[in-house]
Amino acid sequence: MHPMLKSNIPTVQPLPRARRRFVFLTMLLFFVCAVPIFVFYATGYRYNFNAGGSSITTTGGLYITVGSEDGEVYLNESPVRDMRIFRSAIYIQNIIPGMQRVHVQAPQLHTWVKDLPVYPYIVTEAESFNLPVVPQVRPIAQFINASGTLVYPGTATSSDLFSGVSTTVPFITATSTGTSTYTRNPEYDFVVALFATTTATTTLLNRVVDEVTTVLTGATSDTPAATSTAATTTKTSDDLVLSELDGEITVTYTGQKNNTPYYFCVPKATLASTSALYGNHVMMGVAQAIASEPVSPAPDVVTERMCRTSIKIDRQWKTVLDFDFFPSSTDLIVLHREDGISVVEVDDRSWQNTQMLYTKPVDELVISNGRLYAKVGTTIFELLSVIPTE
Amino acid sequence: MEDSSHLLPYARRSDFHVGRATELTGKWYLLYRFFEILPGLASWSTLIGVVLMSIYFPFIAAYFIIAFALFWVLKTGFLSYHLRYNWKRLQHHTKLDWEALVAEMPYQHLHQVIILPFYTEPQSVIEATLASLGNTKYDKSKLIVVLASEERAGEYAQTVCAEMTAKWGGVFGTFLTTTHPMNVPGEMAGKGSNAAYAAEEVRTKVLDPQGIKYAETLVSIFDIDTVLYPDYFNCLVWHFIRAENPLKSSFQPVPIFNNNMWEAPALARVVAMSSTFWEMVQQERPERMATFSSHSVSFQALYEVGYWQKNMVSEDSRIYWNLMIANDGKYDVIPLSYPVSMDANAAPTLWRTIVQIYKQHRRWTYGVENFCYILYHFGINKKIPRGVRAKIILQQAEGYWSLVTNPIMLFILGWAPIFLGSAEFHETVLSYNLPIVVRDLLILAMFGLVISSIISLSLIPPRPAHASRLRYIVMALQWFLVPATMIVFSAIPGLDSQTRLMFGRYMGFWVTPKVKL
Repeated sequence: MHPMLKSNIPTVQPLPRARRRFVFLTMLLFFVCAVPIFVFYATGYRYNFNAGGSSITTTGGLYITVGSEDGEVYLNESPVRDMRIFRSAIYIQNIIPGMQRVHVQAPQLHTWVKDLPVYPYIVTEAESFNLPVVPQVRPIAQFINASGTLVYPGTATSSDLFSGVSTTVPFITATSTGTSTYTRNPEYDFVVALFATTTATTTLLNRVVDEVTTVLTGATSDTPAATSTAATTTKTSDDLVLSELDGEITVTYTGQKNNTPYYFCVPKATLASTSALYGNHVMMGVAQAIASEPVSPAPDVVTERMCRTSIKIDRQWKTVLDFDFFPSSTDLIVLHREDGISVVEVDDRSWQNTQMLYTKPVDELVISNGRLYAKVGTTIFELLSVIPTE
Repeated sequence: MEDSSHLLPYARRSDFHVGRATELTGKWYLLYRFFEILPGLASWSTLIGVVLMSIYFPFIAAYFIIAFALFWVLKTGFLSYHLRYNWKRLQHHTKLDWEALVAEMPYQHLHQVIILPFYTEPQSVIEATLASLGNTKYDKSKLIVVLASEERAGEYAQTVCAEMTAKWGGVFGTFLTTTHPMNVPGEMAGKGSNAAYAAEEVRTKVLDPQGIKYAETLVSIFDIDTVLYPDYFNCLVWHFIRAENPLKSSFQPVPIFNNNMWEAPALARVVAMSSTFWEMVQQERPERMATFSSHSVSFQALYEVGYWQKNMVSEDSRIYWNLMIANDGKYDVIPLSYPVSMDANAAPTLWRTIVQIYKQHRRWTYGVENFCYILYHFGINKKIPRGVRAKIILQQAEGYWSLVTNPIMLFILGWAPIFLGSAEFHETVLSYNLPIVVRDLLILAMFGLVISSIISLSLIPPRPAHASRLRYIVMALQWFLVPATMIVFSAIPGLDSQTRLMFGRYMGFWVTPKVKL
């Protein structure tokens, strides 16, 4: 530097190295201290200030898929602050391990209730569903008038058709049986064709009739023969197989062990504790799985879970005429029962929630392209799982 | 045989200006090739490693990602601290009356050579640069302006040179135009070879005939779209005279890419200003600096290493490493914290802008070729203290590695354990909390962008009449594009260049098109 320039020039000096080092070391120290705190926090450890002095506790979580947009979640009767990760799911953390009761409810919908065990560091998953309390139907009439409205000729009042259900689709009834002024509804013809295809195979009820006829007379009935027992009583969706045996409906998982759906599995524990937490039926399934395991007594060594391969569907002692997976779901089963149409969850931890989609007997049920069509006499309608917005 | 007696002893080595492995033979080729493979290998290993770790050790991957997100927050804070400090210094330096400050210094003996390499850039861009030179508060008779054209640019370049000479020839002490011949063996068509040719022309045609001492000549090389602030040369002289070793120092202004800030799209503005901010941060930690883009250096220092390298892409930073290595480590970059304005990289259409920015950043990040050069010569020149070599290698390695891997790890691979981890991992609180913790940490890091937003608003030129006031709001909010720009214009082009170098698919010099929007 030139000797004459040692005067104090009014310029901002570069950031002093000592200060930079101080800031760096402070941040480094913070990093070293904060990393374990963040890691422990993310793992589920919490510092408890309230338990009569401070202590570190371990927590678990619940991940509830909420089918209804309006669904509100309650944990042990207390509303859960909305912490939705996605639009349709809620993650509740900081839960002390133990049995927790979860409600999911929404106006005009069935309430879904389940007791779920929460373990330290583990998130217990469940998928709720809420169907309309009052069945929602969409009429599919045979005829349409000039203005495009559905018409039911030869019907006195609408209550003759759809009592006890709700619909937002307008239709009219006419006492006259004449149909010349109407046009045929192509959707009606389409759905009728669907039913024709279905009855050409068989329903469970048909098959029961067949079998009884065979036993009594040694001959087959006039009902078209089923293509095969397996084909008519087995439904497959992804790696899940829905089948019927001796009147009982069972869901069986046939995929890879480490992809087993959560509701087939429970965390590794003693059979006694499994029974206490989930019920005897779960414990029995797990015990069966353990017994059938050829090499290791642990049913699922990879994931430290104990998994069954099959779950029985609760039909509530009703006769099931037909069954299938609920459209776009592998967790819900549609049962065509003698008393109506019900939807049952596969998840049998604690119990299986059952909600009626239609509360009166129907003659036939068919599922096509994600839609459920029912037939009562000559009346055909679509069953809706949500309340249509006006 | 070319005379090399003027070169520093180390610079006389035949491999001093090595540009790539293929210029070497035998074990030196293998060694240099290994160094070329190293950066890409490290980056790809990291990225693939995080994926594999997410599949096979998801818990460890999750812990690593949380620690990394926290590291990112602190790094953002640390860099913002430097940025804010340099902003204050920059503002202060811009307001200072440097002319008055240098008036008390013996600086009249100093000459300024200004080299302006250009290719096919519009005449209006060149005009603006020369006009800003004409507006500087410095004795114009001491300015030797060199408009350095390329023969391969054809008639257009010659016409421009003739017209500029006619217009500006009488304004400066010397106005020289040079034409770098094309297809010179051993040269890569680019800025480095053009600038080196121009420097030698200045020496033989101006300095030597006029008896101007090399040690009393400062050379400033500017991109052709560089608009100078009035006190640039006064600020440069002030720092040059006060420097401990002025002939062993390069001088780095802050390139602010804001000339066309009101015309460029938001994407171009964010990327351009991010580059400015990075240089501002570096100004506060000069020990990590290499010269970048426009910079100044004494002619003596340049002459001692044979000017800019002619056979590689990133000549602007390579010249620093040439000087540093040839001077056995005793060479510095002095931050001027004084701005020069340049164009944000923008094209008439958004898609062209995206393509241009990508290509420009791929060229910049191809500066990783300097890392090979450093490793190679640090292994040979043992006169550079071992500690200095180790520190620089670590700093440079971290820089090139983090440039490529950090944005991808944070914004993409941070979620990998959730998608790739085992069923056992998916059941855990850790699996569910990982995205929440990482998201919250990244939001915290985004507060650094608020500082960026405020600073950027202070660096834009005055609002032209045609621009709406609402553009200020857009300019403040545009910083939310940063996560995307970091990946698209930093990590991916960086990975692209490292991969090219790794496989020996060497890049040529891509000239950024300069257009008036």
